[in-house]
Amino acid sequence: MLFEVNAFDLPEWAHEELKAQCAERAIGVDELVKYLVCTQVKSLSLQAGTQFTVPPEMESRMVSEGFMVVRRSAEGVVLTPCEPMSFQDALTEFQSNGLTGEDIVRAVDG
Amino acid sequence: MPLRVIFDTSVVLAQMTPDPRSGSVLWLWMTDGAVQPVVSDYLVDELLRNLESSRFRLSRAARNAIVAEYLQYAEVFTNVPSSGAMCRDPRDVPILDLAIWVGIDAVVSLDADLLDLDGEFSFSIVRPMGLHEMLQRSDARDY
Repeated sequence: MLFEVNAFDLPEWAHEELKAQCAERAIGVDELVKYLVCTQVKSLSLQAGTQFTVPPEMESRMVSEGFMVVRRSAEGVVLTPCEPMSFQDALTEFQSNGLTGEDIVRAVDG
Repeated sequence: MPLRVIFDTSVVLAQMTPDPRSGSVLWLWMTDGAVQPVVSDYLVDELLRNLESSRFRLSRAARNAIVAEYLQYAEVFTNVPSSGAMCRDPRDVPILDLAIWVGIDAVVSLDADLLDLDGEFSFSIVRPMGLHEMLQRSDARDY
């Protein structure tokens, strides 16, 4: 979903910090703002998700799956989920389907 | 040094069940640094595709939390060249291609098509219990 933002005034230090962070991470302002909003806005608390690194060729695929770019470097692209959830909560959701290990192996390996 | 391991997708998911026979020891091994998963874009796609399946009834947030948790411990490779290795199930060939190209310690699977190939390559092809035994032998960790 697109979210439109009008131009707004920023303190000079924040403007400089944004530019510096974008340069350091090799990402655009839109990508940095998206990352900041998704990790900070929910419940007005820090909720950054788990981060991982993939080769650049996988970036667009992963972004289309709901991950966002945190940083680009020689080692690859660092991504994190747009909607952070703890692994424990995800595990609980996974286990609530009631499938056994054998069910899963049959379903996946066919 | 952690053992570098390719996990079949069914093993990754089956190890997330509360079933005590298949527990979640794999995830503990990763957290403890005893094993490092090796994955390719093919395997990441397979994991994403399976998690999206309606049988798991997972929200996108849950799916992506699982993928992120797994990949934070993994080495991820793309453009894996064909090795020429053969397998009864052609869907398993990308696992062998990755294993041969990267050079790993073991493939962990529950799939007979892969398990029957143990001994044919420089790496082991074992069930999760077999990896447990490898970890004990490697003396890398106190398991």
